[in-house]
Amino acid sequence: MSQIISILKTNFFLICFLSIFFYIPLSSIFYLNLNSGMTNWVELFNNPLFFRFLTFTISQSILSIILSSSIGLITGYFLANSNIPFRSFFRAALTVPFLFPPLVLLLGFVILFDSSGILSNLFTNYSFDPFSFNGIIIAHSLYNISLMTRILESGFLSEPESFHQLADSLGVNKWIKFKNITFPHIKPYFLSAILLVFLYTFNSFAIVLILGQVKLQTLEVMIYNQTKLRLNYDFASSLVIIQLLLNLSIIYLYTKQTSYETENSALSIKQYTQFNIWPFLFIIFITILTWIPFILLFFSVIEGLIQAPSIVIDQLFSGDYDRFLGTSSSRVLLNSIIFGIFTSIFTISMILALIYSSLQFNTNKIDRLTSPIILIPMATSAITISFALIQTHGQFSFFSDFVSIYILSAHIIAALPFTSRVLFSSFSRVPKEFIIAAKTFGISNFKIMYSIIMPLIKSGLLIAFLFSFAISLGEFGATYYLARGEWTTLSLAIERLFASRNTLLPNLYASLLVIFSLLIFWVIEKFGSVDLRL
Amino acid sequence: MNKQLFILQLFLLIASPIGTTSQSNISSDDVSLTIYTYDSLLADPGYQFDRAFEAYANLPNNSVNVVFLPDASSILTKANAEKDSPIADVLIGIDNVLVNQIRELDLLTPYQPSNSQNLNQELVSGLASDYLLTPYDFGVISLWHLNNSFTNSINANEFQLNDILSPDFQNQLIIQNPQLSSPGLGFLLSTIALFGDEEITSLDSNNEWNNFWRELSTSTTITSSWGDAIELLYTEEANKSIMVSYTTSPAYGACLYDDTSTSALLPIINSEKYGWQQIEGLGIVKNSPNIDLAKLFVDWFISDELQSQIYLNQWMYPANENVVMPDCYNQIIPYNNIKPLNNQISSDLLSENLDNWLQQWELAWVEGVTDTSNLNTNNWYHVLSSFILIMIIRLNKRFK
Repeated sequence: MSQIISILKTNFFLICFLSIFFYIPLSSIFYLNLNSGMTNWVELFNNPLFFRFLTFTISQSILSIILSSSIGLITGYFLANSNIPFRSFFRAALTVPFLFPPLVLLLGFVILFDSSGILSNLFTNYSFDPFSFNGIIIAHSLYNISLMTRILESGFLSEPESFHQLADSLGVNKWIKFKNITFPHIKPYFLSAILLVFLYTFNSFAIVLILGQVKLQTLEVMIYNQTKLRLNYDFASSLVIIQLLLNLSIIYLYTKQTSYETENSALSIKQYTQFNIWPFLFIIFITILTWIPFILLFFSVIEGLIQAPSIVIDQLFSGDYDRFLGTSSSRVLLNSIIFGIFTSIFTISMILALIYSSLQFNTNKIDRLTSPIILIPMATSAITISFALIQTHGQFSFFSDFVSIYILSAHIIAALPFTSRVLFSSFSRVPKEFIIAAKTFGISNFKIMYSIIMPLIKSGLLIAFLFSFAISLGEFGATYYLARGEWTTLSLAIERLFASRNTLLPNLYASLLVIFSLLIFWVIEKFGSVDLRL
Repeated sequence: MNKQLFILQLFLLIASPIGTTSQSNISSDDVSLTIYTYDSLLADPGYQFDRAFEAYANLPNNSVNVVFLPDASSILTKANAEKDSPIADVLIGIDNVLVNQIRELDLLTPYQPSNSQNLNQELVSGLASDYLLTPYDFGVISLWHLNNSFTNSINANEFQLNDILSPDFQNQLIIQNPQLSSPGLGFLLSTIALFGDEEITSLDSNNEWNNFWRELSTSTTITSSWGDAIELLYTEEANKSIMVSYTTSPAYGACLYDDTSTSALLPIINSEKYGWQQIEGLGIVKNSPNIDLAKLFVDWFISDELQSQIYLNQWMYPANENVVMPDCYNQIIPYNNIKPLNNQISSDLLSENLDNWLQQWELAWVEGVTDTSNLNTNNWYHVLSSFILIMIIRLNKRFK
């Protein structure tokens, strides 16, 4: 009993935080749904748009997976098995785009594909419309190629070279080798990548909101429209429950998959064959493909700076766009940094408290402690969290006066699963003998935490800080739902200005986000490695 | 040690609001009046009504806090979320359609301004006879276009709404989402009033309103707000030349730049021009924290001082009849020559059906992918994705 009280005290902040900003608001949605009876379920199932958008949500996810996994499979294979010059450069270049906020990709995507875009100027018969079903699939696929490549490359590297050597000596043909050696090794990686991409695309908000143009909506966009525009909360609560259940099922499958994967995660050292030009050209092509939206953004900003630097400075500092943004450009930048720093500090503090509590348990119990903070928040979309927050807190003046806290809480909830994974994985690498020995000498848990664990997970702390910062920087859904005026962030400013078709300022903001993300990636790679899985 | 950690966490919990709210420009103590409105109110070239009111009411600087929201629906949503503990004192920009919703939500308190005798009484009865909202401007929804080579071919004297369904027209057209924008909603109601509905007699029997929107969605561009639409209209690369706006919009170029290169279009039936009249109003929030100042603000907003700014900053007609129309407005479609479509839809009918009409509109807009190649492609994708999903499941079983 005293142990439970001690754990509750240690994790007081985390428990309070998750109760106030997550579990109570989320329960309120269920309560709302139960209270409104069966009528909203009948309304939902009689609504032809629901089935249309549900089919769209699932089918666009599946198609995005097919496209990104086909490319990711080949790219991952070549990166793992072929003799590619500058391999680490290409590996890094192919990983970074996933760290960029989706809105940045979207901006570059439209610059490239729009009817007034680069391709339209190059080809006279150009007719591709990015604001369409195909546009959404391509944007999602471009965004997820990085994730697929990185995870599948690890899958290919997990194949023991000796299996292939043995198979070769026995004269086994390529298909049998693929079926019996390669496929079983990459299968868990492949499935976990598929489930992760499904999760991202199934809950996609920014890309579908902008490219879908009302005609195409994911359940996430539908929940936003029903709650924000139609004030139809009962109807939206049913949508939330369906989305949450589907998400939880996907995550359940994912966690089953990753636990299997970690058992087989030893990577082999490959003996590369002779240099072949085709894999190399393919890797260059895919790198250019994933980078082109961002390169175009930079070019447009540089072009603007060279042609008319005074216009750039004027747009940034004249205050002409303050009314659109709700605040000044400098404040927008400051908001993003403040949210990023606070998100990192609070997230890390909470996970460290959890690690501290876990010192009192054996390692098996850590999973039980962390699963409620990883699984359910991960299954809950940004729009659902925002809707739930407004439902429970919106009626109080505190909500409007301190809306920044609610935005911050949504950022923290988004960052918690990633941060906990990074920190718990660092903690699991701390030799347990050190902790046992320290305990035998009667050293307190606090001293163990401070003097043994913290120095050993130093690089994990830095990575967790930067990951949380990057997640906060790119967060769009909850900020879009909750923030107005003075709390506009860079992502929000890009959307506001993009909607008005101002190109210079959003490109400048997006370039800043790209630079931030690149710096974060560089530091993470210096101290560890980017693990895109949860 | 646990005690230390507990105290540290308690501190973090308490400190977080202080840390994060210190960035606010204006602390809540400094504000005497909070106003929610949309971001294009009196915006071009710009009249700072908040500062002007501070001067009028002898208030300290920054004592009026204006929260600019993207559209009228956002004003409503935000005010509704804070209903039990209101932050705003005044809402500006609720029109004669949203008034029904705001009445249902019970967000405002009626107030008849002391100078209400200066108002056009038709507007008062058209918006809210009980002064739940006080009218401050009005206009007629129309299609506003740049007089370029394409729109030169339009004969304004024979213009029918069905004309905009041609692919060339649609490619040039920008409309606003009626779920978000009040001019967008006004345009939707124009089509319902013109083409008729179950309880509305049709003025133009050449189409049905749902079908009209189904066809219109093929290649028309939709934006969230009027502000977004005008930015798009003047972005050369976007290649757009027509948008849903007001009959007064051509006055903008004429008055500011002596530029007459834009015109407004209204549908003509039996030689009569028809248009949806939008009346915009402001109202005092129920249980407003600063009710007296809010009343003073409403009085001032319909005074000659503020209303004289409407023509040349808001580009609408002022509600105050004392204000004289500038000469540069002479070239626009005269207001008296327009038959209001609002007479087609009674206030009760509007209130009963609005939600249903918006739902039907969304369905029509979504279903209206009449471009068959696109439709077939999507169906093909569904079949392909289902096939691949089945293959993955089968393969998974096989290799287990």
